[in-house]
Amino acid sequence: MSIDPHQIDPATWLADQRRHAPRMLRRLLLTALADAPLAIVQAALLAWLAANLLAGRGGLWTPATLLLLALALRAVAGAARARYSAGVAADITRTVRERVADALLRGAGAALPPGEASTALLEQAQAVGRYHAGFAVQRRVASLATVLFLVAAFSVDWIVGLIFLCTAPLIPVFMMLVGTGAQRAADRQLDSLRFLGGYFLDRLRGVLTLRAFAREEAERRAVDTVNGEYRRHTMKVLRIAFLTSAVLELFAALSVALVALYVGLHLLKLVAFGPGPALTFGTGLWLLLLAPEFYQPLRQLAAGYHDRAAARAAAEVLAPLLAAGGQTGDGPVATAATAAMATDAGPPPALTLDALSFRFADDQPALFEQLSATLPAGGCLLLRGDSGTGKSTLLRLIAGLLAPQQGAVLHDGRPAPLLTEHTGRLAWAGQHPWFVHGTVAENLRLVAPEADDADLEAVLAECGLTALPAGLATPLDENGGGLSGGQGRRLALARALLSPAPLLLLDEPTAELDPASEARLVDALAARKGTRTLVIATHSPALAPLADHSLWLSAAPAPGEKEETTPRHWEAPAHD
Amino acid sequence: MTDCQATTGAWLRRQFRGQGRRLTRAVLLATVTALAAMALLGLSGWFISAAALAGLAAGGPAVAFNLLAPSAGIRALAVGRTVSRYFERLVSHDATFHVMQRLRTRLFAAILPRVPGPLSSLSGGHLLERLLGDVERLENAWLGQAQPTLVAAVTALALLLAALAVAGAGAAALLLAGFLVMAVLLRGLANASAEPLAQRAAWRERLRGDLVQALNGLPDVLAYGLRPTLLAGWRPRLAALAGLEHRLAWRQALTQSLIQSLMQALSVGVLLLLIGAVGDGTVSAPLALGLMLMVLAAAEVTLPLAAAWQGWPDTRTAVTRLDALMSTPLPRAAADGHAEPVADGRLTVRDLSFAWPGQAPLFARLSFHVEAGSPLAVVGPSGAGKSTLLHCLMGLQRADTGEIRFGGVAQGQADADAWRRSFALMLQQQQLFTGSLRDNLRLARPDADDDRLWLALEQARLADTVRRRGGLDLWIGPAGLHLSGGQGRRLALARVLLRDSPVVLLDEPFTGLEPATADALFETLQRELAERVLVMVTHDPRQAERLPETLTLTPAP
Repeated sequence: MSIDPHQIDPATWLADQRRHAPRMLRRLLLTALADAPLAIVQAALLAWLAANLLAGRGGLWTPATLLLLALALRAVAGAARARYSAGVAADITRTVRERVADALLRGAGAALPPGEASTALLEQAQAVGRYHAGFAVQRRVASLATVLFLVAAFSVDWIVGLIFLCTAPLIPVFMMLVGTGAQRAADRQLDSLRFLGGYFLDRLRGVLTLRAFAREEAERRAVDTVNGEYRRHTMKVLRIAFLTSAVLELFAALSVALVALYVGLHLLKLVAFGPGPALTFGTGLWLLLLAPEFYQPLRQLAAGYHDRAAARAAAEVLAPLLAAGGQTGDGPVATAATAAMATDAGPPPALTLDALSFRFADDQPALFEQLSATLPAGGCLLLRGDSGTGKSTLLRLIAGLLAPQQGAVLHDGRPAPLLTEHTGRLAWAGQHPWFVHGTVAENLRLVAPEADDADLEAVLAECGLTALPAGLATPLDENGGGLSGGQGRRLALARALLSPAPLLLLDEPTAELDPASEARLVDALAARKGTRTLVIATHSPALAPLADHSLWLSAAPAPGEKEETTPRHWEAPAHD
Repeated sequence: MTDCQATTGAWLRRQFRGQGRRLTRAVLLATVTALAAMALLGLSGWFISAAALAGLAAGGPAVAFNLLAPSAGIRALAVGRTVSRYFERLVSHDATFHVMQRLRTRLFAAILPRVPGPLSSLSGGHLLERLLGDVERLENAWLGQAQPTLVAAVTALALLLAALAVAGAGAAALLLAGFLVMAVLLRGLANASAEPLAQRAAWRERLRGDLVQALNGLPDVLAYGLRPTLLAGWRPRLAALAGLEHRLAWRQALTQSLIQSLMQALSVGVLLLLIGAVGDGTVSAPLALGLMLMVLAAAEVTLPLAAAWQGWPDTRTAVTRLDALMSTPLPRAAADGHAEPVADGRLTVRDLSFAWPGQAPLFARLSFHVEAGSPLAVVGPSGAGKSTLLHCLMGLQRADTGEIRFGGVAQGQADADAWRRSFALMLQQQQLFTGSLRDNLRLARPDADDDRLWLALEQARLADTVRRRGGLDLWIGPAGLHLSGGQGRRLALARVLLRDSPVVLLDEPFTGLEPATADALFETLQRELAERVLVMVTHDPRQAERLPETLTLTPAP
């Protein structure tokens, strides 16, 4: 699996998500576009009614009826818009979420902490949906509405048109200012929030240390200081945002004032310029009514800027994630292939680690550099080393769940097949097993459909699992509920041993086992050598006799520590 | 439910107390902003209609018309509206952030003494969500909910009075009826959203948990081809969640759209209602138009209302959660006397029992004593209460019955700080904090100078590594230092040594270490702590065998 993110541009990706709700979006756009013409008509009817009223003329009921009709139409359009925008958001969110779930379960984003992966699935996918239902539509509506309002204004009075036109181009400028300001504010805000979060998490994790060292009062003061800095920082950022949006609002208010004064002076016949007789009280009021409506779509757009910022931030995460997840076909196709999986055993592979280098992120030190090892088919490789030195990560690299930055994992001299495409090639027993909803027996038979109860009992006994609450019929849920944590891990081990897969990857299989059980498991593993290739991460010296090869991992050095004389990774001869 | 609402309101008022003046100012400024916007449009409408009448009457330039006052008013309102809006946002945000700063600090101070203890069951991530997520939700309680509602109410009142003064009881009654309909709509929105909001939170939480579980178990899922099964199970759940979010968004948008339409209808309604009055001259036409435009401009105040009211149930749950967290009863302090222990190299425990509330005793009637120079190993399977026993000895947790004596003083009679000064606890996991290495070491002893710190590092056999990596100024980020298990344990040991306390408690000091690393560390421990009272918890019988005394805890049946 290649982590090369195909260099997908997040902005392009974000815009492209439109296609998940094309029909609903069209309807949304239509209902949203209807608002500006309706507003213009409504204002005209209202002005007509008011002019007749002011002049003391009759004929009030025609404009009044039409006005009520326009109001009703606008209300219906508004309700329809509400309905379609909620629909667009839901449709896009659901599709993006399905794809994100799919990609995550293909191992994309394996370097993301699980917490961030769930944020990507739930909140960030929703931000994309919201953006398309809100800001993206409003942007198109605002540009069209602006043109419509300008045409209406110019058709009556070019001076009012000019007032609108002169303030309107300034608005996009300020919008940009507000936008970049808001974006920068959001970024900096996010940074300082992250700092605050890290600070709290630090203290919460270390709460025992703080209490044991009697630091409660000192920490309370320190937390208040950090908190206060966060507040001051937030205010500083917001002040800029408030100032820019105040300028925007000032323009809206000033244009109302200018239009009112100009129209008023004209009606008093105190100004000699302008179109003259075309401007009556009715048309003047119409223009005055249009003034606030003219700025309304633009102000709504400005208010939606944080939605855009959130969607942009989400796209930065989701676009590379989905690109790496390789959208090959949609889910269900794979179901047929898996049924045959269990019988697809094959001979055990020889395993080669060819100059692997791996780091989780560019700013983190390398876990491995130029790590090499070879293991003959049917052999056993032990991964040793203190906790934190990357044993589990190396297992994931060998399984093909993580991709090394350099080097390769080879099975029989060929690059290891993608785990997502090639089930049945390897069996895994790790620290956090996953089960299907069902009984213990059903979970075991997933990997060996033909095994009878005696086979299952035997493999459970090998793993020291004789005291299950209801034996093979013990019910399980996905999270291993029904079993204790230790029992769940041992059941995963039993499943791996039962599987006919030729490559077995085991993470700490003897943790929490008493010496007698451990010895029995070592025998069980020894019996599988030759027909299976085994890779085992362990602290336990009891497994040493199994090893054809041991790989000792040590801690990563800090940058600039290259002069250390001990090689970072060295291969020790087999223990036996 | 009203009861629950009342307590939520009272709780919020308690938190916001102290910022009352600033918040009042913010509401005043927001009201001024809203009224200025209404007055601007109203005055403009009055001005052009009055001007039209004057222009008609004069037949030529209407020089007699008093132009100065309305035009100055219009300009002042346009500028004043913007200025008051700017300061309103500044003041309201500043006041709210002050409240949130205090609330966060209070929450943190409330969590600290309750872990371990009544809040032990909550994970770090869970508590962080309370400290950041819930507090942020409450930020919105003022800025997004209370203040817009208050401003809308004041604006409504102003409009009613204006209508009553200008146009009489009929127009006021119409407006009042309209406002009541809006209130009912908003109330209905809040009520109808409570249940789906709770459900959405629950579904999201479950999906989040299941995703984390599946990602941790991803090798299983992929190796055994379980991915399609898993995805097939998720698809309907994702669809159901999207459906729920759809309903919530649709209801909110619909309510807001209805309120907007209602405001427009009200403004037209007022004008239509006044047709007769204008006709017979009881109400002047410019005033009627001004009133209509004021109602139209007031629509802006109603924009945030639907979101505010739909969010109210969420605010209520956040308050309930925080209130529960802060009002969890404080565990009784283990040491709450005044006596100061004087180190005598002998720790005695008699008849000690401990049980978590509502559970079987973890250990009962435990008696043992430890002498300096004769370390005690505490062994037993996981869940037997080994760590809890250490916490009891240290005074972090109060035992139910029995007595712990050290330095001639029983724990119950000892001064809390003096008792803790006599003990040092080395935890299973290295706990490092963002800051310099120096800060991290000084936690154990705030007054230690650099020489003292280096001495401790030498004793822990870590000085060379630290020197190579940049010395005591080495910055430790949130992700911690990239130390191996053995080095991390040595750092923890350096802290314990700095503390110089007569009693040292070690919790699984060798977990995750290779036997060779563990042996080296064990030797350092024995050498440096030979004269202290030493208690070491371990699950590894091989380590326990090397200590002269052993205490075995058996798990509760």
